[in-house]
Amino acid sequence: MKTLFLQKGIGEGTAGLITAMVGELANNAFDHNLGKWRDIRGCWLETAMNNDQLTIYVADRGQGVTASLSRVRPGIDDLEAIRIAFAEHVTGRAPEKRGNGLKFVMNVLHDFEDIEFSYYSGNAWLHYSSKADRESDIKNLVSKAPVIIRGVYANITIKRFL
Amino acid sequence: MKLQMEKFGTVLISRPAGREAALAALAYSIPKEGDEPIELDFTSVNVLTPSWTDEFLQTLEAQIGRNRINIIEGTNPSVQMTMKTLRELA
Repeated sequence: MKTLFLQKGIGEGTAGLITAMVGELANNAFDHNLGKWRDIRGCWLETAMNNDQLTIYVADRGQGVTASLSRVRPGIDDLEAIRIAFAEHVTGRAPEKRGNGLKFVMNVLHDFEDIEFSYYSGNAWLHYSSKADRESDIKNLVSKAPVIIRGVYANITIKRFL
Repeated sequence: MKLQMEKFGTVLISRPAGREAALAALAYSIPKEGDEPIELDFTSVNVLTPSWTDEFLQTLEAQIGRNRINIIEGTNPSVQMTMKTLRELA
């Protein structure tokens, strides 16, 4: 993936950051669904270039964020699950010490001038826009989604990166 | 001693790979005895994630302790962002 970004003219450092962020999203698809796939195993990864805009899609048909966290945070709904996943140092794979990936994604997002990020699971989604949300609290980024997603669907759009 | 981390690969992303790298380092690179400091030099790594790093460090620390490990970040943005994230969550 990093090679693809470099071929598209994206700088070395930026390509590394994007690859790491996408890598963490794809890691989660496998780390939290091993032995728990609902039907189709694996992770969908797609990139699309349109002029000076790059969009990356990552999706899986795993158990979703709420089910993944339900053993460490029983009774949470989809909205709370996404907030916890991005804001708190907690993992569904306790007692292992994990839970850094999505916090890292947020840190990387804050490093870009013009980026949009959407993350769907269940009937909730988190939407971040660097133009509007740089100072926003995570809980204000999470809301009821217009669609229900089995598993997780994320997309990242980076504008004017060349 | 200094471990050149790019010898484990220049794109370091997944948890299983991080754990495997740590086990290989413990088996072949890190002295089994003594308290010599271990420097982890990420200067020539191109892509690093918290998952790989977390798994590598936890596996290493379980064997040799945290105090012996020093990290050289270098200037790569993904390495710096990974270390920043891990420091925030420590």
